[in-house]
Amino acid sequence: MEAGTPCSGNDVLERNLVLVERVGLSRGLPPEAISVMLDYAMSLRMGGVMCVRVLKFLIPATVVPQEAVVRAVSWLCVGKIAISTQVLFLRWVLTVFDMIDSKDHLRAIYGFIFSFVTEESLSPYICHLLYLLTRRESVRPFRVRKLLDLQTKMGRQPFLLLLLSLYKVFYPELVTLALPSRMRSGFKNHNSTWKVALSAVQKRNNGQVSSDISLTLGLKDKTNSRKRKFHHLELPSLSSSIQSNSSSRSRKVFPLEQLHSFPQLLDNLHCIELPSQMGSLLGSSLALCYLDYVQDDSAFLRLNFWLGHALHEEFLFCSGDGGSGSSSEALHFLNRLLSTQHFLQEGFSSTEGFLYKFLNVWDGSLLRPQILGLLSDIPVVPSSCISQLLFEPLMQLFFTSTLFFKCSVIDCLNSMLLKWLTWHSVYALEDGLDISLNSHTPMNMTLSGFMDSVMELVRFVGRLATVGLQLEGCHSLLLSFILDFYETVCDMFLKYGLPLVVMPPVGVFYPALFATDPVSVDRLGYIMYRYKKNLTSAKCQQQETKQAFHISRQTYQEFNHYLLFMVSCLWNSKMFLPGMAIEVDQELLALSKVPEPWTSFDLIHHPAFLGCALDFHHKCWPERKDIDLNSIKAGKQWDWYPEFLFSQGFQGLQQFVQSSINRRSAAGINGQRGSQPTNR
Amino acid sequence: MEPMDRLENLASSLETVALNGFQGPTVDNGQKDSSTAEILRMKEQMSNQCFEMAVKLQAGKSKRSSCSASDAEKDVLDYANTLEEAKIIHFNKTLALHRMQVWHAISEKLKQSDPEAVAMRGLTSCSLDLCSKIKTLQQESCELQCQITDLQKQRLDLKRLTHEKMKEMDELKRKREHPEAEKYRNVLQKGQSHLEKYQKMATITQNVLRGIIIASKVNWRDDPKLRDIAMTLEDIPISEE
Repeated sequence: MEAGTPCSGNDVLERNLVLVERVGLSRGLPPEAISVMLDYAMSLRMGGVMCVRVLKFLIPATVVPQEAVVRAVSWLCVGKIAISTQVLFLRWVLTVFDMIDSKDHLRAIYGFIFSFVTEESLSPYICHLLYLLTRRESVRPFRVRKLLDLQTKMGRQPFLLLLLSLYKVFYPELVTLALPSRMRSGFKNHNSTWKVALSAVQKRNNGQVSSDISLTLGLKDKTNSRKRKFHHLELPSLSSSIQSNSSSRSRKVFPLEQLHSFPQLLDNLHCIELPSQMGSLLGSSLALCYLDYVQDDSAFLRLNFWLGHALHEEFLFCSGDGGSGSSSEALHFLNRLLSTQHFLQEGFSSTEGFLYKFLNVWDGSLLRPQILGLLSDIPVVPSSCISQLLFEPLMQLFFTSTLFFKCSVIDCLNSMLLKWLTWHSVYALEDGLDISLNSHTPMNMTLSGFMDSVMELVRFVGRLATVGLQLEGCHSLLLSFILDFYETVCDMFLKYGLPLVVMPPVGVFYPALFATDPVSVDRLGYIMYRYKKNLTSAKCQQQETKQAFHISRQTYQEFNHYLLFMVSCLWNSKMFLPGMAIEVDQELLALSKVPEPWTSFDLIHHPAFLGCALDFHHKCWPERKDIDLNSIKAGKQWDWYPEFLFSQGFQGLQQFVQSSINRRSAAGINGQRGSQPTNR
Repeated sequence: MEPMDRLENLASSLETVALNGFQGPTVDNGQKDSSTAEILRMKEQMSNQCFEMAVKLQAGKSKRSSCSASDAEKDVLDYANTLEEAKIIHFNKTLALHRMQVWHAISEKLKQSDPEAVAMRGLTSCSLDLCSKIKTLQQESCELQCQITDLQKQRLDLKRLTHEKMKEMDELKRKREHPEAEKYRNVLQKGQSHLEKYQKMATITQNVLRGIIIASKVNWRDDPKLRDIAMTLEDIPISEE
């Protein structure tokens, strides 16, 4: 539907205009129509009011030709347009920026656009536009000076600071200003006038437009070419920022979109040009590879900016358009983000910032797996702020949540710990004292700081686990996730080389020991066995190398306590006696009418192993009618019974018994079996 | 309370003086005079000290009230911790007792041979089967998790090595010298300084031209020649220094 050039008669003009408006708002205008209408509007042929009206329905269907924008900017230079209209035009350019087909002409007139930055009312939008267009060559000293002057006039405006920070990334010596390393508020979103219409048009054209990106190497993260409903969640297509026939380039560059294979990437590693819309990189794994190798700070800055913007828009500022329709898009977007982060094996800083804010307003059920997955990707948080940023909101969510949520949180924290430990085992230097994080996170962390954070995390999970078990009545599923976590924790020294041993708290150990299913008790046995191995080898190493370890006497004491309790409870049938951790008054025990209450948790009478004991009894004395479980204790049976248990698959228990208990196989003697606690 | 003792002594000596009718004890005059003067001095001293004590008490009171707030906070935290620990111990004991009783009843039941007991025995064996299945599955998932963690470690290691290699490449690129640089160094430097000079001139000219175009408020897009010029005004790259 081409729009002919409207003539200047009022009625005909009005009719034509209405027609074009209808097309624009319903289906979007084709590129030629956009250029014609934009030129018509900005030349002010029919006055300012008409210009505003036209700008308001200028919704593109597919792309916006960059010539149209260049022409419009030159009209802007003429200076006859009213300021408010100029603002409207700039907002329009920012809204449709991703749809402009290529940006090299716009970059060529960077200086012209820059000249508008001194105009106060236009300044925020110009800065935003410049942020999107800036490349290394655009940063000139006089521009930096101008921006700094503007800052003294206008104060430390966020848009100026953002543009200056981008300049600083390219030329740190030119911008000597101290800039905050993380800026919370990015540029504001200016597309409110066109948002609804744009989304409607895109919804309509859904499926008709096929974008491209298949730069995968057959890895898991396949790209999906569906366009999003809401503009801010759209992963833009990977478009070249230079046109193929520009001859004035001094260096030969290889546009990223033409990459189709890994060898190609390797050949052209030094001359690849990044696209202007960094968000499009999230779709392709080759592009991510390149990004990772090059470690370009400006690229990460722009990517983080776009990502933070998109996440904030969708989840934190959504005004009510975010109903059920958008949640599948949001799900898809988050899944893509998750797979990107897993591919790169690190989280983005903007995701981290977003998550801290989001946790405070989250209800715990919206997109739970994705949010918890993103949470586990967070890099090591310094222990000074981890409590306030991460633990407080999680605690609040934890206490009032369902069982599955509790299990998911514990699992998420487990994978977070695993990732921290893996990172530590790869990146820590040999001498251990000073480790620095990735180049684009400006923190440095020492080994002791890292260990503090890990300690805080483990303690926090211990507290969560204690309370969780109390709230859920020692549910076995929750217990199994908690024991998963402590399986990771108990091997921190031997598996990951971190000289730290943290025992499970009282509120986790005893419920696990009294669990009613044998799987949990078996796992507890395994965990205790691993703790013993870790502690003994740590002690050996400490004696050999005289290094200062962080394992205190208290840890050894706790371990010995637990070990003694476990052995006397399970093996020596000594439960509820004075002097032990679980001490109950004799009268109370008498009230319970249980004969020999001190045997009630040994290997025969334990709730978890009762079935096995009965089985064993039946096997030993199949003809006996009245079952007396205590007879298992006598003689050879007491030697055979543990073997029987081990043969049922209770490996953890076997390892525990073998490592910690001296079995004197004296026939017919029901003597004391000793246990081997570790010494300090 | 040394001044008090002294006061007491003096008071008793004063008493004796009074009782003896103001005839001092067998001391000479000078000492008698000095004792009354001393008493007066003592009185001065006492009043000063009382004043000081009052001031200190006042300060102490306020200090105590201010440090009692932070003390109280610490106490509250301590009490909260003790409370939490007591709760946990209580919970554990209750759990143990409860389990003991219930399972005693269950074991008694299982030893009998009525149909309920048979059903329960069936359930027990069923649950044991399930447990062995769970164990095998857990074993598998544990192994898989180990493999995954190892792979992740390897990938992270590769990533680190890649970054190191890239850094080395950058270093090499920077340091690399053109072969036969010695011969042509002077010429090269001269040529480069010329180039820079002219680049600077061109850049300044470009900026001035751009300023003129902007200030003249002309639509440069319409005129093809002007447009071509305007589009090339960004071209000259900054020198690397």
